[in-house]
Amino acid sequence: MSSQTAIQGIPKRRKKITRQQIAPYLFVSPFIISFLVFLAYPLVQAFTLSFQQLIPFSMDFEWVGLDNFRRVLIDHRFFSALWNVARYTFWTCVILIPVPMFIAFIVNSKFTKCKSLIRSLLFIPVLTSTIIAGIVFQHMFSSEPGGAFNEFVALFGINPVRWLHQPGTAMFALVFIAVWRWTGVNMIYFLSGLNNVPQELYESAEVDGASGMQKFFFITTPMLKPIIIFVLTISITAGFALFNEPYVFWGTTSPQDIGTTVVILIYRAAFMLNDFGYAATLGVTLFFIVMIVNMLQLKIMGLFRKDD
Amino acid sequence: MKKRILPLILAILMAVTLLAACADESTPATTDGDTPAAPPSDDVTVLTMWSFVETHLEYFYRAADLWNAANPDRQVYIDGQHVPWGQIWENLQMALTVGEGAPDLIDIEIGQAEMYLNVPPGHVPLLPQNDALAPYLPYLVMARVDPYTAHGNIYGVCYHIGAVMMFYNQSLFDEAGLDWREIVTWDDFIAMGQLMKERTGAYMVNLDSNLFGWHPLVAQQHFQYVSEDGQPRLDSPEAIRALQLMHDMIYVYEIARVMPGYELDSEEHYAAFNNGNHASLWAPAWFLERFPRVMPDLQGNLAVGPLPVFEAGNNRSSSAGGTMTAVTNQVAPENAELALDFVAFAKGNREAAMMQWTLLGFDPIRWDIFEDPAMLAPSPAVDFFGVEFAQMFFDLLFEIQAETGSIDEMRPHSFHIREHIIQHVMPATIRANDMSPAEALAEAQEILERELD
Repeated sequence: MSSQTAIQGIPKRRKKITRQQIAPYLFVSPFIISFLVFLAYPLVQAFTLSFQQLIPFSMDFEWVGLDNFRRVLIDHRFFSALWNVARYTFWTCVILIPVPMFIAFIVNSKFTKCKSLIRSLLFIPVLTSTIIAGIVFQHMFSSEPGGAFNEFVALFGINPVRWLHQPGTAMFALVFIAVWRWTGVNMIYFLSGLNNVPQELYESAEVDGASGMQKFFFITTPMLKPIIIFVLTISITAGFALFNEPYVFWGTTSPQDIGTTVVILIYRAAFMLNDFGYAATLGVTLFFIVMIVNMLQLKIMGLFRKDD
Repeated sequence: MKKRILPLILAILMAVTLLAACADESTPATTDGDTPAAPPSDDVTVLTMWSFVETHLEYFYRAADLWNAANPDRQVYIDGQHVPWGQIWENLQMALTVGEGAPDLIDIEIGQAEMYLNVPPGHVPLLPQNDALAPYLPYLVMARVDPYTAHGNIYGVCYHIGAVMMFYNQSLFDEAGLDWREIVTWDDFIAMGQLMKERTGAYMVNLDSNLFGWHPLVAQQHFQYVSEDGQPRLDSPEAIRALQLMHDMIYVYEIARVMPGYELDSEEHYAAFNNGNHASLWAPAWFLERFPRVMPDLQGNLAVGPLPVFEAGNNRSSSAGGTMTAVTNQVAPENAELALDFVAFAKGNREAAMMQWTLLGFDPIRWDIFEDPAMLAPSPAVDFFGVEFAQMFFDLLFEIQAETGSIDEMRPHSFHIREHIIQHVMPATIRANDMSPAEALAEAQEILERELD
């Protein structure tokens, strides 16, 4: 009886909902809608698809259980791809955290001149299209003696290198583009972090006679820890999701799989083999791998500790 | 009041613009909608067509003119759209999967065709052209029809044969005092190559390290390296012999090198052949179309001959590459018959097929026009290569008709096996001398057997 009375009461209260109360929901609705449509729905769909095999050129499918996952385990290209992206992620993290952090520290220093010029110059690469930059770098990494990088190494008496056709140099090429492209962005993250470091800490360190290096290692670095964690997390995600640059360099068939990444395999399965079930399975597998790596990284950096 | 409404409008605008991306878009983004000017009237049937090559569309516009002249009561108008390579396959695959959005006519490149043809019976999203093609079949080179046949149905016909030939840089041979006409076997080719290198310093040949180098050498031995049920046969003597020959030309006899840029269609290779860095190359005849565009210095300086052989009885050519024009299953039912008849006419009609040479510069698929004097009349190709070359070219096509093999690329797992050869075998044996051809092919065989189990 009492619940019925409560329900009867609702219409009266509904009238009281004002525009001010609706407005917040309306403002977040674009995000909520796009999140549901472009993230939540595809994610659920991908999980479902990974247990299915689509019948070509129809909307029919059959359930295949774990067969797609079994195929992932015997696919030698998958493991080559995983090894490639793991190495790529490692190198980008090793280079793209300390270097931009140091540059940000220099740019932020009161002794540096032309700050905005340096900032803009470093930021420009990220504004260029990945595809166009990839094509330009592809020509620069040409195996011919006239390629930009071969002309450079020739200065040291080194014979022309087949940059994009050998495992080591191919990885170098990929990491090189990443460094060229992302140094500026990461620097901006660190710069914004630096602005939040209280000036008093530096001042009191100076009073205690700390050198510039000591200030960098004992004040700046620890104070930037949240930014480091953020940059590391997005670097890992981006590293494992690598697609554009190797696709421009080699398409889906790189010699001896030196440029194969997991996302390239997903693209190949979906759009070249018309095997959407397997493509989804690769995607789901990658999802779990990145998740585990990120969890481990956050755990190691102590983000789950309550006291932090 | 205005102030209150403004945020609301802005919020709605944001939501709407975000969702606009989901709006129904029945036509793909295109670069050029280069259709002929004549506006279609009511009694003209409009057929939509996508192609990744603009001149293919031009070919179809002219074929439509020929058709309309011959069929006043069944007029067609081609509404063509040029969709760039890559995007066209994604659009087509999606449209044919979801059942809407595909054009009536579609150009499908041979490497992509497997996806559409190698599916369970009843699932091919294209219409069979058997009946429409019947009047033309006796005149067509069947090697160009077979690749597009599945479950007993023909789904399209090529724009060309793509007969692999040897193209010679005549002035280099003159300079070396050598006559390429004396070459019959690969041994002759190697011997002359050594003289060529000695006398001019130029390589005899540059080798494609994709598949245009190796496939013709396998096909000329009447061999298929993928069995009919989709199993690899890479450790066979024929496959090894073909690869060994290429390997030895580079690393033993030193008369060849890998094409700069590694493959036939690369800017670096165009420049090298144009500059006379190598005296010959083997390539499908459609490669001729590249010369006027990107190797202009070879104007009037090219000669053509058959592929040398390993031994008597080998094929002296092999067809490679290609694009079929298919009718999709999304054509309006009332237009289906007209679409099929028109497409068959566009490829198979005598006058239309001549345009494969006069307009496109390809080796036409009708064997009965090879000796037609009209083929020597002025056309972009004849103007560039010269009448003498054109005569040599068509005589050769006529001569090697029965000696043109091909690798069947539509067998199950063909795509997977080809990809593995390009990625693993060629880099290890041709691009670098890391493994012997026999070792590399045996290793590939072992891996593929395990994966395709």
